[in-house]
Amino acid sequence: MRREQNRLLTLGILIIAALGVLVVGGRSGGFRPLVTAVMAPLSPVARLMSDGSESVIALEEEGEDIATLRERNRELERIVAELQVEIVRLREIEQDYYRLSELVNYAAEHPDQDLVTARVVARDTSGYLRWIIINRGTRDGVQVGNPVINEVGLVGRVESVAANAAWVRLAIDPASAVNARLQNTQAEGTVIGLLQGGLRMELIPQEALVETGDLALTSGLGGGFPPDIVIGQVTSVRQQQAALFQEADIRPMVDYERLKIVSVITAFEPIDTTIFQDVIEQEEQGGP
Amino acid sequence: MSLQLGIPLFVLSALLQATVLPFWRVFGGQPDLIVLLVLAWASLDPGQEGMVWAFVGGLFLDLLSGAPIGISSLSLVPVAYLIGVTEAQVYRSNVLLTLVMMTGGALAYHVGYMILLRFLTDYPAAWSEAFRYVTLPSVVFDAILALPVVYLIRRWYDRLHPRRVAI
Repeated sequence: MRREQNRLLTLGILIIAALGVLVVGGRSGGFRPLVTAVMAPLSPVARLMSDGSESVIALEEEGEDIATLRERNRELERIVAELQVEIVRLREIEQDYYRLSELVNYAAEHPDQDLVTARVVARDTSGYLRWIIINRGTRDGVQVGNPVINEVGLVGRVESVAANAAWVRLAIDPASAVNARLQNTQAEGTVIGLLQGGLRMELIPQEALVETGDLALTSGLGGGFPPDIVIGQVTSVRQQQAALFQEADIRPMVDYERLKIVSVITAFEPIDTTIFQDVIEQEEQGGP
Repeated sequence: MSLQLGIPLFVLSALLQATVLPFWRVFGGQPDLIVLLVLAWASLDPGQEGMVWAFVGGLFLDLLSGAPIGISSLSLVPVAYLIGVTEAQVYRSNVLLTLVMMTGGALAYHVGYMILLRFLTDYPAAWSEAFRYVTLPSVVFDAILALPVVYLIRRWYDRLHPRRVAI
Protein backbone atom coordinates (compact mmCIF):
# COMPACT_ATOMS: atom_id res chain seq x y z
CA MET A 1 0.00 0.00 0.00
CA ARG A 2 2.75 2.27 1.02
CA ARG A 3 4.66 1.34 -2.13
CA GLU A 4 1.74 2.24 -4.30
CA GLN A 5 1.51 5.59 -2.63
CA ASN A 6 5.20 6.29 -3.31
CA ARG A 7 4.72 5.51 -6.95
CA LEU A 8 1.79 7.88 -7.25
CA LEU A 9 3.80 10.52 -5.50
CA THR A 10 6.70 10.11 -7.92
CA LEU A 11 4.32 10.30 -10.87
CA GLY A 12 2.88 13.51 -9.56
CA ILE A 13 6.25 15.08 -8.97
CA LEU A 14 7.45 14.18 -12.47
CA ILE A 15 4.31 15.52 -14.11
CA ILE A 16 4.65 18.71 -12.19
CA ALA A 17 8.35 18.88 -13.12
CA ALA A 18 7.54 18.38 -16.75
CA LEU A 19 4.93 21.02 -16.62
CA GLY A 20 7.43 23.23 -14.84
CA VAL A 21 10.01 22.73 -17.53
CA LEU A 22 7.38 23.52 -20.16
CA VAL A 23 6.39 26.63 -18.32
CA VAL A 24 9.95 27.77 -17.57
CA GLY A 25 10.92 27.55 -21.23
CA GLY A 26 12.95 24.57 -22.52
CA ARG A 27 16.32 25.05 -24.17
CA SER A 28 16.13 28.72 -24.89
CA GLY A 29 14.57 29.65 -21.63
CA GLY A 30 15.72 29.31 -18.06
CA PHE A 31 17.33 25.95 -18.59
CA ARG A 32 19.59 27.21 -21.35
CA PRO A 33 22.79 27.20 -19.30
CA LEU A 34 22.11 23.70 -18.19
CA VAL A 35 21.35 22.56 -21.69
CA THR A 36 24.53 24.22 -22.91
CA ALA A 37 26.60 22.52 -20.27
CA VAL A 38 25.23 19.16 -21.12
CA MET A 39 25.50 19.63 -24.84
CA ALA A 40 29.12 20.74 -24.73
CA PRO A 41 30.55 17.23 -24.52
CA LEU A 42 27.69 15.60 -26.34
CA SER A 43 27.76 17.69 -29.43
CA PRO A 44 31.11 16.49 -30.86
CA VAL A 45 30.27 12.92 -30.08
CA ALA A 46 26.93 13.31 -31.72
CA ARG A 47 28.54 14.91 -34.71
CA LEU A 48 31.02 12.10 -35.01
CA MET A 49 28.30 9.55 -34.80
CA SER A 50 26.14 11.46 -37.18
CA ASP A 51 28.98 11.82 -39.66
CA GLY A 52 29.78 8.17 -39.28
CA SER A 53 26.25 7.25 -40.05
CA GLU A 54 26.15 9.55 -43.03
CA SER A 55 29.44 8.14 -44.26
CA VAL A 56 28.13 4.64 -44.01
CA ILE A 57 24.95 5.61 -45.81
CA ALA A 58 26.95 7.60 -48.37
CA LEU A 59 29.31 4.68 -48.83
CA GLU A 60 26.43 2.41 -49.58
CA GLU A 61 24.98 4.94 -52.00
CA GLU A 62 28.42 5.61 -53.49
CA GLY A 63 28.93 1.93 -54.05
CA GLU A 64 25.83 1.98 -56.16
CA ASP A 65 27.03 5.18 -57.86
CA ILE A 66 30.48 3.72 -58.68
CA ALA A 67 28.91 0.71 -60.31
CA THR A 68 26.59 3.00 -62.23
CA LEU A 69 29.45 5.31 -63.16
CA ARG A 70 31.59 2.42 -64.30
CA GLU A 71 28.79 1.16 -66.44
CA ARG A 72 28.21 4.65 -67.76
CA ASN A 73 31.94 5.05 -68.39
CA ARG A 74 32.02 1.83 -70.38
CA GLU A 75 29.05 3.00 -72.35
CA LEU A 76 30.67 6.37 -73.04
CA GLU A 77 33.95 4.73 -74.04
CA ARG A 78 32.06 2.54 -76.47
CA ILE A 79 30.28 5.57 -77.89
CA VAL A 80 33.57 7.49 -78.17
CA ALA A 81 35.17 4.57 -80.00
CA GLU A 82 32.20 4.40 -82.38
CA LEU A 83 32.36 8.13 -82.95
CA GLN A 84 36.09 7.99 -83.62
CA VAL A 85 35.49 5.34 -86.27
CA GLU A 86 32.71 7.51 -87.67
CA ILE A 87 35.00 10.56 -87.68
CA VAL A 88 37.68 8.65 -89.58
CA ARG A 89 35.07 7.43 -92.06
CA LEU A 90 33.67 10.92 -92.52
CA ARG A 91 37.15 12.38 -92.96
CA GLU A 92 37.80 9.81 -95.66
CA ILE A 93 34.54 10.80 -97.31
CA GLU A 94 35.45 14.46 -96.95
CA GLN A 95 38.82 13.87 -98.59
CA ASP A 96 37.20 11.85 -101.36
CA TYR A 97 34.69 14.64 -101.82
CA TYR A 98 37.50 17.19 -101.98
CA ARG A 99 39.41 15.12 -104.52
CA LEU A 100 36.35 14.54 -106.66
CA SER A 101 35.26 18.17 -106.51
CA GLU A 102 38.73 19.28 -107.58
CA LEU A 103 38.62 16.82 -110.44
CA VAL A 104 35.18 18.10 -111.40
CA ASN A 105 36.59 21.63 -111.36
CA TYR A 106 39.45 20.47 -113.55
CA ALA A 107 36.99 18.89 -115.98
CA ALA A 108 34.94 22.10 -116.04
CA GLU A 109 38.04 24.18 -116.75
CA HIS A 110 39.14 21.83 -119.54
CA PRO A 111 36.10 21.11 -121.68
CA ASP A 112 38.36 19.77 -124.41
CA GLN A 113 39.33 16.82 -122.21
CA ASP A 114 37.36 13.66 -121.39
CA LEU A 115 37.98 12.30 -117.91
CA VAL A 116 37.31 8.88 -116.44
CA THR A 117 37.60 8.72 -112.67
CA ALA A 118 39.12 5.58 -111.21
CA ARG A 119 40.13 4.08 -107.91
CA VAL A 120 43.61 2.79 -107.16
CA VAL A 121 43.19 -0.90 -106.36
CA ALA A 122 46.78 -2.08 -106.04
CA ARG A 123 50.40 -1.00 -106.16
CA ASP A 124 53.30 -2.68 -107.85
CA THR A 125 54.48 -5.83 -106.09
CA SER A 126 58.05 -5.08 -107.16
CA GLY A 127 60.07 -2.54 -105.25
CA TYR A 128 61.94 -1.59 -108.42
CA LEU A 129 58.87 -0.27 -110.19
CA ARG A 130 56.47 2.54 -109.32
CA TRP A 131 53.21 1.50 -110.88
CA ILE A 132 49.62 1.41 -109.75
CA ILE A 133 46.62 -0.59 -110.92
CA ILE A 134 43.29 1.20 -111.34
CA ASN A 135 39.80 -0.22 -111.66
CA ARG A 136 39.01 1.16 -115.11
CA GLY A 137 39.90 -0.37 -118.43
CA THR A 138 38.96 -0.57 -122.06
CA ARG A 139 35.28 -0.92 -121.15
CA ASP A 140 35.46 2.62 -119.77
CA GLY A 141 37.37 3.98 -122.72
CA VAL A 142 40.82 3.84 -121.14
CA GLN A 143 43.63 3.25 -123.62
CA VAL A 144 47.37 2.78 -123.51
CA GLY A 145 49.10 6.15 -123.39
CA ASN A 146 46.30 8.02 -121.63
CA PRO A 147 47.60 10.55 -119.09
CA VAL A 148 46.51 10.08 -115.48
CA ILE A 149 46.05 12.97 -113.07
CA ASN A 150 44.60 13.61 -109.64
CA GLU A 151 43.31 16.74 -107.92
CA VAL A 152 46.87 17.99 -107.37
CA GLY A 153 48.65 17.24 -110.60
CA LEU A 154 50.24 14.65 -112.82
CA VAL A 155 50.12 11.03 -111.68
CA GLY A 156 51.45 9.12 -114.67
CA ARG A 157 50.46 7.38 -117.85
CA VAL A 158 48.54 4.21 -118.71
CA GLU A 159 50.98 1.63 -119.99
CA SER A 160 48.88 -1.49 -120.08
CA VAL A 161 45.15 -2.01 -120.09
CA ALA A 162 42.66 -4.83 -119.64
CA ALA A 163 38.87 -4.74 -119.92
CA ASN A 164 38.32 -3.65 -116.34
CA ALA A 165 41.76 -2.60 -115.10
CA ALA A 166 44.69 -0.52 -116.21
CA TRP A 167 48.35 -0.46 -115.20
CA VAL A 168 49.68 3.06 -114.73
CA ARG A 169 53.36 3.97 -114.70
CA LEU A 170 53.75 6.75 -112.14
CA ALA A 171 55.77 9.83 -112.94
CA ILE A 172 58.23 8.81 -110.19
CA ASP A 173 58.99 5.47 -111.89
CA PRO A 174 62.65 5.39 -112.98
CA ALA A 175 61.58 4.69 -116.57
CA SER A 176 59.15 7.61 -116.70
CA ALA A 177 60.01 10.68 -118.77
CA VAL A 178 57.69 13.66 -119.15
CA ASN A 179 58.29 16.75 -121.28
CA ALA A 180 58.07 19.67 -118.89
CA ARG A 181 58.29 23.43 -118.68
CA LEU A 182 59.12 25.69 -115.76
CA GLN A 183 56.32 28.12 -115.06
CA ASN A 184 58.33 31.30 -114.42
CA THR A 185 61.31 30.92 -116.72
CA GLN A 186 59.46 28.98 -119.42
CA ALA A 187 62.57 26.80 -119.69
CA GLU A 188 61.85 23.34 -121.01
CA GLY A 189 63.28 19.99 -120.09
CA THR A 190 62.41 16.40 -119.27
CA VAL A 191 61.23 15.24 -115.85
CA ILE A 192 62.34 11.73 -114.95
CA GLY A 193 61.54 9.58 -111.93
CA LEU A 194 64.09 8.49 -109.38
CA LEU A 195 64.26 5.12 -107.66
CA GLN A 196 64.98 6.74 -104.31
CA GLY A 197 61.80 8.82 -104.68
CA GLY A 198 61.30 12.25 -106.14
CA LEU A 199 61.84 13.66 -109.60
CA ARG A 200 64.62 15.28 -111.55
CA MET A 201 64.28 17.72 -114.42
CA GLU A 202 67.01 17.23 -116.99
CA LEU A 203 67.94 18.82 -120.30
CA ILE A 204 67.26 22.37 -119.09
CA PRO A 205 69.18 24.82 -121.28
CA GLN A 206 72.23 26.36 -119.57
CA GLU A 207 71.10 29.92 -120.23
CA ALA A 208 67.80 29.45 -118.40
CA LEU A 209 67.63 31.07 -114.97
CA VAL A 210 66.11 28.35 -112.82
CA GLU A 211 65.00 29.33 -109.33
CA THR A 212 63.92 27.19 -106.43
CA GLY A 213 60.19 27.25 -105.89
CA ASP A 214 59.41 27.45 -109.58
CA LEU A 215 56.68 25.06 -110.69
CA ALA A 216 57.32 22.35 -113.24
CA LEU A 217 54.37 21.81 -115.57
CA THR A 218 53.77 19.48 -118.45
CA SER A 219 54.79 21.23 -121.64
CA GLY A 220 52.49 19.26 -123.89
CA LEU A 221 55.28 18.74 -126.40
CA GLY A 222 55.27 15.31 -127.94
CA GLY A 223 51.52 15.03 -127.50
CA GLY A 224 51.77 12.57 -124.62
CA PHE A 225 50.27 14.89 -122.03
CA PRO A 226 48.07 17.96 -122.14
CA PRO A 227 50.00 21.16 -121.31
CA ASP A 228 50.04 22.91 -117.92
CA ILE A 229 49.45 19.97 -115.58
CA VAL A 230 51.41 20.54 -112.38
CA ILE A 231 54.25 18.06 -111.83
CA GLY A 232 56.21 19.50 -108.93
CA GLN A 233 58.30 22.29 -107.52
CA VAL A 234 62.00 22.99 -107.98
CA THR A 235 63.93 22.40 -104.75
CA SER A 236 67.51 22.71 -105.98
CA VAL A 237 69.43 23.40 -109.18
CA ARG A 238 72.70 21.90 -110.43
CA GLN A 239 74.57 23.90 -113.02
CA GLN A 240 78.01 22.89 -114.23
CA GLN A 241 80.11 24.98 -116.56
CA ALA A 242 81.23 22.03 -118.67
CA ALA A 243 77.78 20.51 -119.05
CA LEU A 244 75.45 21.25 -121.94
CA PHE A 245 72.39 21.32 -119.76
CA GLN A 246 71.50 21.98 -116.18
CA GLU A 247 69.43 19.81 -113.84
CA ALA A 248 66.89 20.58 -111.14
CA ASP A 249 65.55 18.42 -108.34
CA ILE A 250 61.76 18.49 -108.31
CA ARG A 251 59.58 17.78 -105.31
CA PRO A 252 56.42 16.09 -106.60
CA MET A 253 53.16 17.83 -105.78
CA VAL A 254 51.28 14.53 -105.82
CA ASP A 255 51.62 12.25 -102.80
CA TYR A 256 52.25 9.04 -104.70
CA GLU A 257 52.17 6.91 -101.56
CA ARG A 258 48.58 7.85 -100.79
CA LEU A 259 46.90 7.81 -104.16
CA LYS A 260 43.27 6.75 -103.91
CA ILE A 261 41.27 8.44 -106.63
CA VAL A 262 42.69 9.42 -110.00
CA SER A 263 41.33 10.54 -113.34
CA VAL A 264 42.33 9.17 -116.69
CA ILE A 265 42.30 11.73 -119.50
CA THR A 266 40.87 9.62 -122.28
CA ALA A 267 40.75 12.44 -124.82
CA PHE A 268 42.40 15.85 -125.03
CA GLU A 269 43.36 18.44 -127.57
CA PRO A 270 47.08 18.01 -128.15
CA ILE A 271 49.26 21.09 -128.39
CA ASP A 272 49.33 22.60 -131.86
CA THR A 273 52.70 21.66 -133.35
CA THR A 274 51.91 22.59 -136.93
CA ILE A 275 53.94 25.81 -136.57
CA PHE A 276 56.99 23.71 -135.86
CA GLN A 277 56.18 21.57 -138.86
CA ASP A 278 56.39 24.65 -141.08
CA VAL A 279 59.80 25.54 -139.62
CA ILE A 280 61.04 21.98 -140.14
CA GLU A 281 59.86 21.96 -143.72
CA GLN A 282 61.57 25.28 -144.35
CA GLU A 283 64.82 23.99 -142.85
CA GLU A 284 64.58 20.82 -144.94
CA GLN A 285 64.19 22.93 -148.05
CA GLY A 286 67.27 24.92 -147.04
CA GLY A 287 65.46 28.20 -146.61
CA PRO A 288 65.63 30.50 -143.55
CA MET B 1 50.79 -28.34 -101.16
CA SER B 2 47.57 -29.01 -102.99
CA LEU B 3 46.23 -26.65 -105.61
CA GLN B 4 43.14 -25.99 -103.52
CA LEU B 5 45.32 -24.64 -100.75
CA GLY B 6 48.23 -23.24 -102.73
CA ILE B 7 46.37 -21.08 -105.23
CA PRO B 8 44.30 -19.19 -102.64
CA LEU B 9 47.40 -18.79 -100.47
CA PHE B 10 49.43 -17.27 -103.27
CA VAL B 11 46.54 -15.11 -104.46
CA LEU B 12 46.10 -13.79 -100.93
CA SER B 13 49.85 -13.24 -100.55
CA ALA B 14 50.07 -11.38 -103.86
CA LEU B 15 47.12 -9.19 -102.89
CA LEU B 16 48.73 -8.44 -99.54
CA GLN B 17 51.96 -7.57 -101.29
CA ALA B 18 50.15 -5.21 -103.66
CA THR B 19 47.79 -3.57 -101.21
CA VAL B 20 49.12 -3.69 -97.65
CA LEU B 21 52.88 -4.15 -97.77
CA PRO B 22 53.60 -1.08 -99.96
CA PHE B 23 52.53 1.00 -96.97
CA TRP B 24 55.20 -0.76 -94.90
CA ARG B 25 58.00 0.30 -97.17
CA VAL B 26 61.03 1.32 -95.17
CA PHE B 27 63.97 2.91 -97.01
CA GLY B 28 62.36 1.72 -100.25
CA GLY B 29 62.22 -1.94 -99.27
CA GLN B 30 59.28 -4.14 -98.39
CA PRO B 31 58.90 -7.81 -97.44
CA ASP B 32 58.69 -10.27 -100.35
CA LEU B 33 55.92 -12.43 -99.00
CA ILE B 34 55.58 -14.80 -101.94
CA VAL B 35 59.34 -15.19 -102.25
CA LEU B 36 59.58 -16.14 -98.59
CA LEU B 37 56.73 -18.65 -98.90
CA VAL B 38 58.27 -20.25 -101.95
CA LEU B 39 61.75 -20.46 -100.44
CA ALA B 40 60.40 -21.93 -97.20
CA TRP B 41 58.42 -24.55 -99.09
CA ALA B 42 61.36 -25.38 -101.34
CA SER B 43 63.59 -25.88 -98.32
CA LEU B 44 61.18 -28.40 -96.82
CA ASP B 45 60.02 -30.35 -99.82
CA PRO B 46 62.45 -32.88 -101.27
CA GLY B 47 60.50 -33.04 -104.54
CA GLN B 48 59.72 -30.42 -107.14
CA GLU B 49 56.86 -28.64 -105.42
CA GLY B 50 59.05 -25.70 -104.51
CA MET B 51 59.82 -24.97 -108.14
CA VAL B 52 56.19 -25.37 -109.19
CA TRP B 53 55.08 -22.90 -106.56
CA ALA B 54 57.92 -20.57 -107.50
CA PHE B 55 56.51 -20.50 -110.99
CA VAL B 56 52.91 -19.99 -109.85
CA GLY B 57 53.85 -17.41 -107.21
CA GLY B 58 55.95 -15.51 -109.71
CA LEU B 59 53.00 -15.30 -112.08
CA PHE B 60 50.79 -13.85 -109.37
CA LEU B 61 53.49 -11.33 -108.50
CA ASP B 62 53.81 -10.18 -112.08
CA LEU B 63 50.07 -10.00 -112.56
CA LEU B 64 49.99 -7.17 -110.03
CA SER B 65 53.04 -5.42 -111.39
CA GLY B 66 54.15 -3.36 -114.32
CA ALA B 67 56.94 -5.81 -115.03
CA PRO B 68 56.61 -8.25 -117.93
CA ILE B 69 54.63 -11.31 -116.86
CA GLY B 70 56.96 -14.21 -116.19
CA ILE B 71 59.97 -12.23 -115.03
CA SER B 72 59.43 -13.11 -111.37
CA SER B 73 58.87 -16.78 -112.17
CA LEU B 74 62.04 -16.77 -114.19
CA SER B 75 63.96 -15.30 -111.26
CA LEU B 76 62.39 -17.46 -108.59
CA VAL B 77 62.36 -20.94 -110.14
CA PRO B 78 66.19 -21.33 -110.31
CA VAL B 79 66.49 -20.19 -106.70
CA ALA B 80 63.87 -22.71 -105.62
CA TYR B 81 65.75 -25.38 -107.57
CA LEU B 82 69.06 -24.60 -105.88
CA ILE B 83 67.47 -24.70 -102.46
CA GLY B 84 65.67 -27.93 -103.30
CA VAL B 85 68.93 -29.59 -104.29
CA THR B 86 70.09 -29.53 -100.71
CA GLU B 87 68.67 -32.13 -98.39
CA ALA B 88 65.66 -30.78 -96.52
CA GLN B 89 66.97 -32.25 -93.28
CA VAL B 90 69.95 -29.91 -93.37
CA TYR B 91 67.69 -26.89 -92.99
CA ARG B 92 65.56 -28.56 -90.36
CA SER B 93 68.50 -29.17 -88.11
CA ASN B 94 70.14 -25.76 -88.22
CA VAL B 95 68.39 -22.45 -87.65
CA LEU B 96 71.37 -20.40 -88.76
CA LEU B 97 71.61 -22.33 -92.00
CA THR B 98 67.90 -21.78 -92.56
CA LEU B 99 68.36 -18.06 -92.08
CA VAL B 100 71.33 -17.96 -94.45
CA MET B 101 69.40 -19.99 -97.03
CA MET B 102 66.34 -17.74 -96.87
CA THR B 103 68.33 -14.51 -96.97
CA GLY B 104 70.64 -15.76 -99.71
CA GLY B 105 67.65 -17.01 -101.68
CA ALA B 106 65.90 -13.64 -101.42
CA LEU B 107 69.09 -11.86 -102.49
CA ALA B 108 69.55 -14.23 -105.43
CA TYR B 109 65.95 -13.63 -106.48
CA HIS B 110 66.43 -9.85 -106.39
CA VAL B 111 69.67 -10.00 -108.37
CA GLY B 112 68.07 -12.27 -110.96
CA TYR B 113 65.02 -10.03 -111.15
CA MET B 114 67.14 -6.92 -111.68
CA ILE B 115 69.22 -8.59 -114.38
CA LEU B 116 66.11 -9.68 -116.24
CA LEU B 117 64.41 -6.32 -115.76
CA ARG B 118 67.36 -4.48 -117.24
CA PHE B 119 67.77 -6.81 -120.16
CA LEU B 120 64.12 -7.34 -121.01
CA THR B 121 62.86 -3.80 -120.49
CA ASP B 122 64.19 -0.26 -120.76
CA TYR B 123 64.68 -0.08 -117.02
CA PRO B 124 67.21 2.71 -116.55
CA ALA B 125 68.04 2.71 -112.83
CA ALA B 126 71.69 2.19 -111.97
CA TRP B 127 72.77 -1.05 -110.26
CA SER B 128 74.13 0.79 -107.26
CA GLU B 129 70.93 2.77 -106.76
CA ALA B 130 68.75 -0.30 -107.17
CA PHE B 131 70.87 -2.23 -104.69
CA ARG B 132 70.96 0.58 -102.14
CA TYR B 133 67.35 1.72 -102.35
CA VAL B 134 65.47 -1.52 -103.01
CA THR B 135 67.49 -4.74 -102.88
CA LEU B 136 69.25 -4.23 -99.58
CA PRO B 137 66.24 -2.95 -97.57
CA SER B 138 64.02 -5.69 -99.02
CA VAL B 139 66.50 -8.45 -98.23
CA VAL B 140 66.87 -7.14 -94.68
CA PHE B 141 63.09 -7.23 -94.36
CA ASP B 142 63.07 -10.78 -95.71
CA ALA B 143 65.79 -11.84 -93.29
CA ILE B 144 63.77 -10.52 -90.36
CA LEU B 145 60.66 -12.40 -91.46
CA ALA B 146 62.46 -15.53 -92.65
CA LEU B 147 62.39 -17.62 -89.50
CA PRO B 148 58.75 -16.94 -88.54
CA VAL B 149 57.67 -17.78 -92.09
CA VAL B 150 59.74 -20.99 -92.13
CA TYR B 151 58.30 -21.98 -88.76
CA LEU B 152 54.72 -21.51 -89.94
CA ILE B 153 55.28 -23.22 -93.26
CA ARG B 154 57.07 -26.10 -91.55
CA ARG B 155 54.09 -26.67 -89.26
CA TRP B 156 51.79 -26.64 -92.26
CA TYR B 157 54.08 -28.89 -94.26
CA ASP B 158 54.34 -31.44 -91.45
CA ARG B 159 50.56 -31.51 -91.15
CA LEU B 160 50.18 -32.15 -94.88
CA HIS B 161 53.08 -34.58 -95.04
CA PRO B 162 53.20 -36.59 -91.80
CA ARG B 163 56.49 -38.46 -91.43
CA ARG B 164 56.36 -42.18 -91.94
CA VAL B 165 57.76 -44.27 -89.13
CA ALA B 166 58.80 -47.88 -89.59
CA ILE B 167 57.45 -50.22 -86.92
